[in-house]
Amino acid sequence: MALSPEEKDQVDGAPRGPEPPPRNVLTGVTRREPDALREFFEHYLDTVHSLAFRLVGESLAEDVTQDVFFKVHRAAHRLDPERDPRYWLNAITYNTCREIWRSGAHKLEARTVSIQDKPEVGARLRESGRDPEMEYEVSSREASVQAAIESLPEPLRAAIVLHDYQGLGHEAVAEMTGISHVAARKRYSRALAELAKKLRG
Amino acid sequence: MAKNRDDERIGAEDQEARDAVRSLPDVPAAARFRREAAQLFASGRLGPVHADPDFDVDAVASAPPFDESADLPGELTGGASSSGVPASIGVRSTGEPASTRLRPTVVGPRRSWLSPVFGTLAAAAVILILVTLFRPTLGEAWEVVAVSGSGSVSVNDRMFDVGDVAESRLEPGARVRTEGDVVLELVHDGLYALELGPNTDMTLPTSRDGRLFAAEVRNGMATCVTGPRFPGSMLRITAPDADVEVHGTTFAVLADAEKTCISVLEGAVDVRTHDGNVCCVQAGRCKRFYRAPDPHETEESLSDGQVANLTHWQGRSHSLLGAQGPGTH
Repeated sequence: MALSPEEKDQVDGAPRGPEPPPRNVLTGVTRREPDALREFFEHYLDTVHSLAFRLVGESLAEDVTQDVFFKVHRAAHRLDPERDPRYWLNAITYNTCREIWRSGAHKLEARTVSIQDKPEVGARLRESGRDPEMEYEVSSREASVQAAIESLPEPLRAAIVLHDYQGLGHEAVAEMTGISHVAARKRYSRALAELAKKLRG
Repeated sequence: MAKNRDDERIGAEDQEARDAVRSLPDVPAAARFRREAAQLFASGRLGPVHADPDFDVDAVASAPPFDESADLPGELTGGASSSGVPASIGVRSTGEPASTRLRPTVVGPRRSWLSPVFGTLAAAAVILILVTLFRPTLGEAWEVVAVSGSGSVSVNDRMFDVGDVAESRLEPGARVRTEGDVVLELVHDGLYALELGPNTDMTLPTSRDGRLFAAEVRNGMATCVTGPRFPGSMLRITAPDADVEVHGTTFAVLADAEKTCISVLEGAVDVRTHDGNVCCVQAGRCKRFYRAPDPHETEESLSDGQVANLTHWQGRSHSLLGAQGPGTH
């Protein structure tokens, strides 16, 4: 019997994101009850947005997030409340990003914005209570890592973001991206080497 | 040597890269997006941004958390394929208009000639061709390169949060109004850069022949710097009390309740008042045209503050226009 992605990832721990909401919420989502939908949205918004941000960058992260939740609503009646929705959301998010890469829409909007200019980053820095100089270094490092990720070819970017950022195992990544387990591991190794080179350079 | 999650041995540099990715923090969605999208999602009115004709509910439902045996509900059967699943998600099948989206739809991929999306795209293409053939050239879009302040921006009488306008493109000839303390910086294809100050009401320059550009400032402050592609072109700005003609310079047009003020940092600006008089405002001068009940004109040297503001905007514009580069967009 084939393992589910949840079982495949047991060795790695759960993927990034909160634990599933109560079952009655998921059941309500299948019935498209507004309160349940609202709670589901609040529960997973940042998880979806974060993955989209890492995959397509800031300029398209909100667009992808909106498309993901549009698709979620369309398919909500098929949600199985017994299972962890994170895997499903990850798959939809990745596929939505892939559609954007294919359409070339990202090339129209590709743009980098200094992380220093973003108010949400500023708010996060203020909340952390760390030394401003250290915060500057941390946020600069984050920005350079994100820039390096975005400069990777899309398949390599997806390999490293899904595995290391999102916390999915190679089996789950292979299934999501439609390649073999071996190919997924090789692609990840190549992505890691490329990223290391860019961060050095 | 360290081990990754799947027990692979990796080198120190790879390990450093891996750890850098793993330590990246979550990126919360903006509060505005959270608020608006939550409401639309809960009410079933959230539309797509990128039309995606390949997406179907079956494909989503084949993912693990879903019960594959369930049937589609009645309201989702519009545009059904032979397998009973929607063939396209680019058009809402609930009968509601797809206008309830937070961001405009970007052209999506097309794969089936029979897809309903094709009809829409074909119609759009025909319209585009007709417009291209029969409508005078309006020029490239303006690019909003920076915003500051808080408040709203009205574009052709549609209100937007200032954050939504950042990094967007505005059509030549669009009427833009800044509200609150919002300041917009725009560039136009290496031709010129514009700064719209708070509470400014302006029609962005547009051209019928790519050489003569026309704009209007109804209220507020618009500061303009011409760029490397401007020579040979002319910009005419209509203000409440005068028309300003520019051939390459750095200047500002201010219109308020009692006057229109033309401040010139570099070059010269031809001004034609609405009663037919023509004059030229030279570099370093500021000319004011007062209207009733006491219509008169004054001219004086630029104040230190005006010089400082114009010089600042000139430097900023040159970097923007230079970064954008002539002939690029």
